[in-house]
Amino acid sequence: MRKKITNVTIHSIVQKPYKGELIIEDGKIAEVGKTCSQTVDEVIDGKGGLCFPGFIDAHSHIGLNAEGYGFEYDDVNEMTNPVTPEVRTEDAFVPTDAALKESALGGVLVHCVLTGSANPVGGLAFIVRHTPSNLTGDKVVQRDVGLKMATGENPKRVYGAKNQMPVTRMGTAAVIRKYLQDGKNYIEKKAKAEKEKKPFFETDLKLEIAEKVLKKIIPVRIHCHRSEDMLTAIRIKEEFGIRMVIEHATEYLKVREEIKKSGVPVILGPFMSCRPKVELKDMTYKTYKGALEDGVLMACMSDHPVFPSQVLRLQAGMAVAYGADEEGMFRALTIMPAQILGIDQDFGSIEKGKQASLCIWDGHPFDARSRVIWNDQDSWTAL
Amino acid sequence: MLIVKGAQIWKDRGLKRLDFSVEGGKLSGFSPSLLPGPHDEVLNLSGHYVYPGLIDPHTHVGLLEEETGNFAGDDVNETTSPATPGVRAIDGINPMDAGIRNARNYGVTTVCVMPGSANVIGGEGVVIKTAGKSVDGMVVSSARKIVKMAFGRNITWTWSKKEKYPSTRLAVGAVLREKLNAAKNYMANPERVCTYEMEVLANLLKKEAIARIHVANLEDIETIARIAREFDFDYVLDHATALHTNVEFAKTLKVPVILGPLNVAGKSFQSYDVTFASVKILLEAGLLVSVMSDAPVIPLNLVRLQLFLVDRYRLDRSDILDLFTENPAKTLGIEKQTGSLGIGKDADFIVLDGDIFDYRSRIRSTYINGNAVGGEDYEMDS
Repeated sequence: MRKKITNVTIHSIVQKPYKGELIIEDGKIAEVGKTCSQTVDEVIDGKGGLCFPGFIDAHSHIGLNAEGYGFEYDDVNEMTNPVTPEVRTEDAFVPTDAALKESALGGVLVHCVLTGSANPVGGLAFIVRHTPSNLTGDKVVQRDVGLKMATGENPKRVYGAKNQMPVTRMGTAAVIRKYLQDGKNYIEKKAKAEKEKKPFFETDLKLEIAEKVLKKIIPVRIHCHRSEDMLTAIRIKEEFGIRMVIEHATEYLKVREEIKKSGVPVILGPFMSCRPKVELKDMTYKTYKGALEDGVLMACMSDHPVFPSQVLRLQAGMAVAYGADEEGMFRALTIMPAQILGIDQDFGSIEKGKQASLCIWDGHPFDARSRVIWNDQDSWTAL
Repeated sequence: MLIVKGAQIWKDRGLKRLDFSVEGGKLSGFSPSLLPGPHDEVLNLSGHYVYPGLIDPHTHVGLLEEETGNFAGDDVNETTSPATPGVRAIDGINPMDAGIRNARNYGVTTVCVMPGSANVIGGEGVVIKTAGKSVDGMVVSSARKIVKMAFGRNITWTWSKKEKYPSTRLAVGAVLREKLNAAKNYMANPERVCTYEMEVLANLLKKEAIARIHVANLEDIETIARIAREFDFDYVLDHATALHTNVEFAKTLKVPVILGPLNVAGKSFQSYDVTFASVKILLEAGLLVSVMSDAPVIPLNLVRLQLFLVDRYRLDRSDILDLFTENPAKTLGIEKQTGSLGIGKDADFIVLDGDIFDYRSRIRSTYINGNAVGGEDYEMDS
């Protein structure tokens, strides 16, 4: 089954926009350009719309707090232990969460779903894409893609209330360090058993995940708002030689040189919100502009349901209003989150061979009045 | 030898006019006409209908007793740890429970009794016949070993109230993975010290036991399937309330399902999808389907109500009766012993004064291992 989309302006992200066509075969982009020559089974007239890659929301809790169900479906934070690397968002994800369909209406077709930020060591994230199926399995792009960690006010508020470590920022860092050091010791213990050709029967599922982090197979995705928390995170990264992504990075502008030097990508947001916590005091849309100017790898997050994924694009639009480069903000919704998540071979731009994760818009996505009129997954269309 | 004469009997997927004999608690012969010898006892059931005794593969009778109040007879959930593989249902069953009396009086001759669904790993279940004073004498020994488990919101309700792990569905799968990993370590350790908990889980990993997993929502069924692939064990889906909402997925699982209780109110979001249609849909998908009462959720004197309501979907009546007899027998691994009428099988049968699908037909007597143990009128007598 080959489908051709014609009569659209293609916003490929990797090239300047142009009027063109593209061909979809087996869910992939088989051809894209000003004109496409292959014969097809179906032609979709884009009616002069704008064709964008599906936006990627690199930090979300979508599906963990299915909308309209209340506390029964609240599975964001396992707040019973500060170290829960073994918990998986895939296990708690509700694929019928109404927010997934709504997000698609806002052009967001890929989500990285993380645990919340109550625990210094939170759990494993996974990546889903929008499909009409009611199965999680049909939505999975990649599982176990990063280990969530958290610093700042949230862990010390949650465990402070229980009078349990950590009650301070010092304590949070110590909990994280201990976990990673336990992981190092575990790797050595396994290596020793292997060297001595002895059977190993102390497999520890929590520390298996630390091993993946320490061997740089998966990154740490660390929640930080304040500048000192980001510097603590970078300090831990350097100590243990691990991969890291800083999430939120609200005070990015205060430590921009240090972050740039560390090579750590940042996922910024949600800045379209109020400031209920002290650590959000200096939140500003200007952060996007700064990060783009610095040339760091950067993505724009919704933190759904903190800020609805459906209108992620409006947050990016606000960033443009505050001076960010428009083309840069499109990259922050597409190719840059794909690179941060390690899925850029399949997602994040309109290029031959990539997944046909696509939306056609009837107007500019940063204009609140614009709508998605077609996407590659749903049978409905407003074309 | 007991010779039963004159009845229409349900055998080989249909009603037939056959006499049969019972010897040593087993069915020993079938024939259009059996002639009794001088020492044989004869039971004349002309005008009556004989069916295999019904099997309920998922109950808590004897553990969650009737007529005892909220505390004294409640032994269904050991809610002190989210994983209690070391507890056994057999140790909590009171054979004198009214729920078990109800079972035999209303035609249920075999039940599987299991711990409840508050824990990820609840404990060992047991299959018993429904007559006896000592539970040891009631055990159906051919049954496969059972490890009860549960997924979804019953777990998180229980443990979030206590502010203990697992308080969310993020961690429910993690509890099971952690315990199964511990069992693998245990099995690999040549110097292991025997613990009963680990032995139970080792039985599961060796496939001597089967997991019986309480689950409602489709996403939780997916998580179970993933973990079963990771650790390679056999399982049955109990309740499986939403499984029929994706038939293609259901077919890929290739596991038995035990649906029900179906005539209940949707008191939580987990029960959104509860419908009698699920039986038809999953049968047509080719799955091994049984129906449970979850007694005392639905008391066992009302088991036939579910049969009548399934019958409204105009399925083949042999298939419907199988839901309450042969299919649960196969799921429990006792099909060679009971669940149908055949030579060498336990003489577990029920005598009705009409067709079992006619709601006016009453159970006149219930036989277990060839002994008359109950019937609807027994209850009136007692």
